[in-house]
Amino acid sequence: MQNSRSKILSIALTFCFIIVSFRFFYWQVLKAPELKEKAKNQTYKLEKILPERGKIYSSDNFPLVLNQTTYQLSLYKPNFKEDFDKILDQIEQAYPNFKTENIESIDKFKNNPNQKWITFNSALNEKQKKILDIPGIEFQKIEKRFYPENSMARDILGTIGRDFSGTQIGYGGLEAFYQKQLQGKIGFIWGPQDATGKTILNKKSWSSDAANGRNIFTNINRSAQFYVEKLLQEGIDKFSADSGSITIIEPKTGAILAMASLTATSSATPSSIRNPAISDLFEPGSIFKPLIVSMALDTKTIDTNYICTKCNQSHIIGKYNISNWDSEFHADSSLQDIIKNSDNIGMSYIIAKLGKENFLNYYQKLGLTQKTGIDLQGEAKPTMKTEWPEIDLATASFGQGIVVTQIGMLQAFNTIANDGILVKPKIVNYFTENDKIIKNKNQKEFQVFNQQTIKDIKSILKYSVENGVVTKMKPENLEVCAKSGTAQVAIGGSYENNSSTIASYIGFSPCYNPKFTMIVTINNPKTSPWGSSTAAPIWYELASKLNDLL
Amino acid sequence: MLNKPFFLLIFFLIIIQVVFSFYYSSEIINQNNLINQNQVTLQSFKIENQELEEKLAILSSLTKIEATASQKKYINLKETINLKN
Repeated sequence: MQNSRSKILSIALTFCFIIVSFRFFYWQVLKAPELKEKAKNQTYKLEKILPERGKIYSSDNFPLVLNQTTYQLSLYKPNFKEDFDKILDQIEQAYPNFKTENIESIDKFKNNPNQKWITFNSALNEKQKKILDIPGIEFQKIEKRFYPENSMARDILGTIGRDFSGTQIGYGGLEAFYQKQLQGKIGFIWGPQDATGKTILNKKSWSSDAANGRNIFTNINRSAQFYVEKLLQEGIDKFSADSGSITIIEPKTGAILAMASLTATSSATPSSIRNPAISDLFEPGSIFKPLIVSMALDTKTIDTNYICTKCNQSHIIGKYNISNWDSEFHADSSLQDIIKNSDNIGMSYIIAKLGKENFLNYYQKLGLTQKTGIDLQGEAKPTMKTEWPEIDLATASFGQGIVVTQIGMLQAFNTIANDGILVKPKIVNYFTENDKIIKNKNQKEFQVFNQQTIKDIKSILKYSVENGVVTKMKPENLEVCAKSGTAQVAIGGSYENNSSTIASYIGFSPCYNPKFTMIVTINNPKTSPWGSSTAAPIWYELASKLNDLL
Repeated sequence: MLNKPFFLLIFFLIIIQVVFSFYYSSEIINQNNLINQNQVTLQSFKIENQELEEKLAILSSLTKIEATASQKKYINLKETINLKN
């Protein structure tokens, strides 16, 4: 009996053992991959490592844009282990003026027993955060951009915002144009997490390192930029203008040394995303004349002995009458005098000799039909008419009826400064990535005008400066080749019902082997409409500063 | 007869496994804590470095220099030196 009982027990146990073994086999072998995956999904997580956004520097290696980490402070009543006032005193000690800054919010939070949580706007630094390691105080990390020179070069730098995932995105200027280079590469860690949700780093299964964004080293000369903004603002206010722009380029390399666009102090601050120096199209006016004369000299349709025999009266083309800005006539004007007197009549005869084909050919060669390709976001493409009746060609000779951006005009005029060679403007000199220097590629350069043309036009411009209306403004020690311009602003295709002008001055110094080429544009100056009495004084004041700086 | 050594072996193996798992898990925790601590320190150094760079930039900023320079005033020296023979 006992024997048979033990046998039954033994068989039952063996049977159970076999069942359990099968079950084990089922879970541990057959179901193993699926369970492993489920377990991994429960305990493993993918952690994002955000890279540091690249910084932006001026040519003297001064940071124009830095990254700033601050902490936003929050209080959570249930975690308080001390009296609320004592906690406030400790915060005040670490962050002076905290109470004054947040007096209203503090009072509300203190007197409302139902309010358990509050977040303040005050930005605390790392040191202050470390001091305030107190129960009930929580911090939220805030990453933002910091501008040590405040609003300096804001049109060049651009600004940043965040996309839906919290990634910083550049808007306008360098921030947008070089978004890819600045943002870097996000890193990832795939590994198990501990009970607090932190990744167990030494058990990670897979990781890819984050790569910080490239730092950008620009060609911007900080001192030049500083003076440009200061003198431009003073000029706009002094001449009661609406706004103005200045751009300075290094003639040989195309490096942009300074660029600024400002509005009158009394007007509202414009958005920093738009940069009028590259986005606004305008009729250049008389500053375009030296380019037409260069085209005519280069094609040998005229020479330096050219005399305008018909300049003693208006030039009548069909129903249109071309006359001069001062309503005067300069009989038998030489080429030098046509530029010196800014003679529209003389220019209309020169372009007639040059011809439409030659004009359009050089216009294209000077890059005026395309964007310059400057490394900033938001450059406008100039529009170009397809039909060129005689009157339109005549008005183009003095810069009316054609549109350019300020940067496009500067690029074209700079070919005269740079011995006839067109160079593309560029803001960035080089990038750094982990101490490795990556040079910003130079764009193609090409010869537009020959050496003799350049020699002749420089001599004409120098004569014009030394014998024209701006002579008194020119410091004695400065050699300047420049031209003023005043363009009427057309409204609805007509100049008749609008008295506003765009006053400009463009030139380079010294005339031979120049250090800089600069353009000053003043929009709607009310004290005087002329470029020679508004843009020119700003140009000369800046030129004398640049002469010492560069 | 065989039961005793077999039982001892099993018992011994279990002990080893328990000791090893304790040792191994505490080693993982220690290493992980160390990595976390180092990461926090590194992060804090990075932020301190960032703050120093920021301070230095503010000190040498042209905008700041110009703003402070215009507030500066010359101090008239009122001290005189009396030279006695």
